[in-house]
Amino acid sequence: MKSDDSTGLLRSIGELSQLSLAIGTSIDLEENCEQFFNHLMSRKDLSGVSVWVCRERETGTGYQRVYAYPAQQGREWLDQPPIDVLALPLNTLQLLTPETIHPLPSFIDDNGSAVLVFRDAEQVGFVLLHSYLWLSEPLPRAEQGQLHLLLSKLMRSVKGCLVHRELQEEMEAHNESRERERALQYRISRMERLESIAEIVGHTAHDLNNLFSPVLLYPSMVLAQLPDNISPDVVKDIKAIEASAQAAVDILKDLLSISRSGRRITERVHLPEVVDAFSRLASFREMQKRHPNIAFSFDCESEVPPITGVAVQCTQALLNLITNACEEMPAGGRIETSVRQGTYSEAVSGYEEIPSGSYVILEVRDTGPGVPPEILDRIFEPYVSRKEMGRSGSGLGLAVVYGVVKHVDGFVDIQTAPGIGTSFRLHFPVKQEE
Amino acid sequence: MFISTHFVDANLVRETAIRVHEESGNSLIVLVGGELRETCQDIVASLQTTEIPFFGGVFPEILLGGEIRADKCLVLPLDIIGVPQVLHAPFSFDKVGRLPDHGAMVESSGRPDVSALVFVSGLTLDISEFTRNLYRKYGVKIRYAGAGTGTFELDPDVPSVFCSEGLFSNAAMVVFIDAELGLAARHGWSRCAGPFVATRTENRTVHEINWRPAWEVYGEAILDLTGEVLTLENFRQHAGRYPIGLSKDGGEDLVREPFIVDGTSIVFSAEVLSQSPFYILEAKLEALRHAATEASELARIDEPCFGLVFECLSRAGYLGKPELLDDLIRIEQASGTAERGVPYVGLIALGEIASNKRGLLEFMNQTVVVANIGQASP
Repeated sequence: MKSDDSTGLLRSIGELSQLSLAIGTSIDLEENCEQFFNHLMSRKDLSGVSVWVCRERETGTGYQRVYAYPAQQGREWLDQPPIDVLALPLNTLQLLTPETIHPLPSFIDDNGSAVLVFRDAEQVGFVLLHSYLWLSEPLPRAEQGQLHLLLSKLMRSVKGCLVHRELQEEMEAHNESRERERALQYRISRMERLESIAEIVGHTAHDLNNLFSPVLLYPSMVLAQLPDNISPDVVKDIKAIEASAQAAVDILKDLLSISRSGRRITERVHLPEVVDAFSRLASFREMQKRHPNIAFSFDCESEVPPITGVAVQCTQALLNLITNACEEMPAGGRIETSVRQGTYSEAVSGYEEIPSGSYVILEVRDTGPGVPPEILDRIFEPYVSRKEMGRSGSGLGLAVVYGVVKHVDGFVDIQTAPGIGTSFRLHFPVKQEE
Repeated sequence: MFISTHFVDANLVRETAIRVHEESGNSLIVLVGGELRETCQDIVASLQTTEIPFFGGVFPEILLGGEIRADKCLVLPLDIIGVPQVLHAPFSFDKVGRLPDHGAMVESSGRPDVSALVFVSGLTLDISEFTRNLYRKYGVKIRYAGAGTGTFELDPDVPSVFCSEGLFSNAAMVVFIDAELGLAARHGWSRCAGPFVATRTENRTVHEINWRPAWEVYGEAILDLTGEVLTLENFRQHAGRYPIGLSKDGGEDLVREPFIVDGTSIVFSAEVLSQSPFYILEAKLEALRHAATEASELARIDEPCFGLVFECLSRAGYLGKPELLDDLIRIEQASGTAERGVPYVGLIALGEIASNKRGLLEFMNQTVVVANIGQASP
């Protein structure tokens, strides 16, 4: 061993080097503080530390704790540190004891504990070092100088971390806003695509509907005028024409629902009544028989306000959603239908951007395999799914649902997870009564 | 409180546990000697059939009443708060932070002064992270006493921590106790060479000392101190006699023992922080004896029921068996309870844990920890 003086000096230099090198090892504020205080606490046998930064550096007010070890250290000072600390001059290191500090925080006790406070020159903030050693043995001058140097350096690095964090937050906010903008743009283009599909479909359906009127009407007229001795085969053929024409007109009705063309209806519809009536329909009973392994349930809040819409269209939408869900679950499962009121204080980003406001929400939830991502985006377009669905069985079921909702300025949302199920939520706006 | 002061065979642990529980009404702390590592699973399984809450650990050797045994067990009663908390490595704060809050324990026990017994698989790499995060959670609000568990074989995968939930390897267990705890830790080693700086480290491995390969620098120091050239063959012998001490203001240096050689690097018994200044330490028998006495005096409480003494494996190796038994006697005598016959149980440990609500919790080596367990809350 060398002489006591030289080993003491070497040890001091070694410690200073170790602690100094532990500062600024990360641009992340938490990691930076953690690295340094891991070393400092072990070396100086501290029992706690905390770092505070000034939120308003120009006025020197509003301090915020940005690091603490252990986690509770200085929690009671979180909102407002004691005036004693803020009254200390800048660029100083000062020992606060139970006698000098008011109010006494819980981590300083009368049993030999004290806090060393460092306020940096640039008013970044202050550091509290808590120990049980300093009251029994005053901190040597050399050690004070060493700590002053280290804590000044730490606070400069903390400042760097804060600048980095601010930049990062700005970038994140910017990216988030761009992301939101992109998502909104995407939804708008999807809506525009559906609108233009609906428009083309509407015109075509309208024209075809006119053309099909005679095809639907004339077979019965022709049959009435035929002589009695006409061959049964001819009657059969004419009836086949009539049946096909009826099927075509049904499809055209669906297409007209999608197009949302025509007069707006302002009927008051109470959705729980629609659901209740649906659950008693013969077509629903038939559906239950066809799918014995599916459990159906209905849960409607009775107090929901009426909406403006068309009851028969709402029934159609419900039928299409439940039929669709049944076909997703050939092995069985659960289909839960509910009606409730929901109020959003701000816009909600789901499948569509749903503006703030009050809605009656008709939800059909199944426990099927979920909607594949490649289908989800186009799920309301006609003929996306080739499965038999809806009244017409033509691949128009969900397109009709979308048309019904849009017909009353409503919104749709879909929650789906592979292997867990899918939930369609139709949002019908609650309008103030005139 | 009824205390069983006899070693029991593995096949009698269940029977003894039932008797101790019936007479005391307490949960149980079960200490298992290292030679029973193969049968520990059976011991735990047999205790699980009793539905008595229990916890414990496997330690290389257990000392009691002038005997040192590795092939026996001890069953002691201890009131605990809640249930033993088992954590599996790695010990992130996400995990450790989910331990019960201090306030909840104070409320459930009615005891403002909560303490914890901490057992951790002694060779788990992540021990420093565990103690750091445990302190991050509770700080100086509780007292901590405990040790690293394991066996002489130093196999890191041997399961050595257990409770009613099962037997675990690479795990830590925190048991909050409803009893007063008197606690002190001392080692008595003194500086004989240095200072040095661990200039490149990685958790427990020191690659460079003073910017040179660790093996070379440590070897030169050993040559200076003993006149012998350090070789792989005599490494263990010198490492036990000349550990390093990380300097610490206001207290004893934190001891780290050179453990194994990895090329030109040296793996220590616990984490060595990068750029740490340190000294090489040596032991003087009288100083080691004094350390045990001093720890016992500092750990005194008014009415201890029993004392747990965690003796570091390497300290035990240095002292040898007769001196180790004398160490326990010295501790009993210094405790001021000798005439009352308070039993002291010595546990050879793979590292020690102690913090007396005064400062940072760190994993120690070459140290003796005296933990006096007092009465439960009335």
